Amino acid sequence: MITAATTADARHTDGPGQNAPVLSVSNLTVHFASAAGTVKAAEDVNFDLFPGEVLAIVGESGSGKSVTALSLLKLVQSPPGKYVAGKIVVDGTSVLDADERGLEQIRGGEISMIFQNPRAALNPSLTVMSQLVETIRRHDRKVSIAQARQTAVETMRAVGVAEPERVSENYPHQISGGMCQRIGLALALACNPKVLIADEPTTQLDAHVQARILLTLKRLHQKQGIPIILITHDFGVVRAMATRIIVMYAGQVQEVGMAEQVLSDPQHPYTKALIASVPKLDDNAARLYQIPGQPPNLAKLPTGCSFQDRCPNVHATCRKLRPEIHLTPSGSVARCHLFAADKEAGA
Amino acid sequence: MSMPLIQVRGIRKTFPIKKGLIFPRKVGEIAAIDDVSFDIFRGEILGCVGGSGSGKSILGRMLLNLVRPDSGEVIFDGRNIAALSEPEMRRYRKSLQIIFQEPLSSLNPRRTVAENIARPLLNFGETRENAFRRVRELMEIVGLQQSHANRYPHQFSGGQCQRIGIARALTLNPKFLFLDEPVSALDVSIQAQILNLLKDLRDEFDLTYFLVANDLKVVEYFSDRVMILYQGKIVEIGEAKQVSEAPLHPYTRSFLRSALHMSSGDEWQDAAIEAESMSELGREEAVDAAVGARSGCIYRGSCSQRLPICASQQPPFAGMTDAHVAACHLVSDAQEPRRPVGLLAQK
Repeated sequence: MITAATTADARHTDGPGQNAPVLSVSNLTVHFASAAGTVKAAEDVNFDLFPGEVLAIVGESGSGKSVTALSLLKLVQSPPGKYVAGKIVVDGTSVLDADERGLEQIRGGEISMIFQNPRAALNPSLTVMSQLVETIRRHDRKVSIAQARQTAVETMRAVGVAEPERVSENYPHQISGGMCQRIGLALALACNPKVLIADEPTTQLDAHVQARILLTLKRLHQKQGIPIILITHDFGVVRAMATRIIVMYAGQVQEVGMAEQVLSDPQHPYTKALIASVPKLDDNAARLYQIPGQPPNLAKLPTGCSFQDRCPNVHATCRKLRPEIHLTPSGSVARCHLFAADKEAGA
Repeated sequence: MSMPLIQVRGIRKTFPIKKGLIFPRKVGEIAAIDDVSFDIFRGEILGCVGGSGSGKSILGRMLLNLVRPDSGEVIFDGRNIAALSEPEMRRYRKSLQIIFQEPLSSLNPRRTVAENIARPLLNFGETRENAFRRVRELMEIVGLQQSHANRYPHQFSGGQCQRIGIARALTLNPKFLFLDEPVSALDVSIQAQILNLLKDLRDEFDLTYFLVANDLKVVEYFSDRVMILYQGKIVEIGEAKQVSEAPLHPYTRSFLRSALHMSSGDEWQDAAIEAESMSELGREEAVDAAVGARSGCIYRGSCSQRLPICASQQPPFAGMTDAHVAACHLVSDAQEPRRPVGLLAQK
């Protein structure tokens, strides 16, 4: 458990200011039952999302970023998944305690999500318009079909669809990947959610289309002020979009800080290594920096720090004690013994 | 590095556009690859970048004769392999190998790692004893543990599966590898491991690579020369550093500006805004280019710097030196036109 003294640190509340958070995640722990044992997909995840933020959750596969995102909508399939502990509060409502009816309101109404594979996220047998109308009326039965169509066209225009009337009569297979993602975004925004989760929204798109989709997201964020949780592994996207960054590894939050802090002055050894291994356009080095070894098996996490086997700064304490979250010199917070106030622990 | 290993001369591949559900009839053609010529030199890494649908994957497959060109020649080792019959081609298959984008799905899930790697040797009549001795060697070379030999592909992470795929591609001592987005499905820290491995293997075994990737940073970092493909045509080709630092073609410039990287400023937003303002026009022109005979420059529809001549005349290759040329009237106005071999030359 986190102690009172470290709570403020662990949530990294200093950076974004003192507004009340829109979304609050406390102590979220999600496990999966598997033949190999209990997979600890997310362990003690804490964060707040503040108004006007683009909060990037960065991590590699198995880091827990997607499980965390899915949990915000209570979408982790159970079984095999299990919410072991934690609380997620959006707009005064507890997501994990909500029943199916309550969840229907939360999904789309409070929190919406767009996905990595935009075409797969759409229904292949319905036209774009039918899907939008269905979504809008599902959330508010009082809306007439004509009104819903009107809202659909307006929403599509807001996400940068130039000719919404024409596009809306198409089926998903008839439109491009970039257009599918715009429609996904229109579906997500149709019911005016308070939070948008974007899970690798441009990973499958080429550089040109990626830039245009991200610009659309950025404009929505600036005009409507909707806070965005951006799940990604691409530091280029993070640099372009994020105001604050959470770095995850092996199911745990490793570092949280303002985007500028984390990108230009990473503190946690994992963040440092990860950023160092990204190919840079102006890089003349013959070889890329590579993090040795493989990410740990989440069913057999070592005692102590989960990054110990790949860490250049590893010492005896790291193999015995799981590090708490500490304030670092850059102003970010990191789960690493190096930053323990009590230097004995880090020596 | 002076001798070309593969010479591509005027290759073309078109696909029919069909209409009608029960009796489909051909209503036009899409040129996936349209009159493309270039050389790949021994020991060289030639990178290929383009948006989705630019034809880069088809082009790579045509180098291996997995897709046969409608016309044109692919000369490998002095023979036009595009004209060979399947039995004749089999002899060349040993020399030409491929690394796939999806490491797991490119392996046989019902065979062990060792059997997967040994398969090409057994196919070509090697004894089991010799084949498995070679497998042990190869596993060592690509950084797999011998104890992994009898496990199955699904027990491995993406990065390790890619190592297995690389070992399999090396079994027959190939001269040339087509790397089809080899790291786009991998995590950042694993990407660096695989790219470093591929570079080491090139040096050790005197290999030649054709690398196709969406990620500009990867291509630029990894390649000696880069070609930019747009709608099945080379628009620019040159030394990697020159192309990225001083791009000649408006498409290359726009693509480079759209790409997000760690040191990105806001130029990607300008590129997206520019693309937005051109897109209306661009769509109409793109349809033209796909169906009818192509006249003029294929990029003119999306080009912000188009001239009257662009609609009527195909731009020739031109540039300051033979080592870096682009097909653009703006360049050929200012620079000397280069002979077609100009785009083949290297320092």
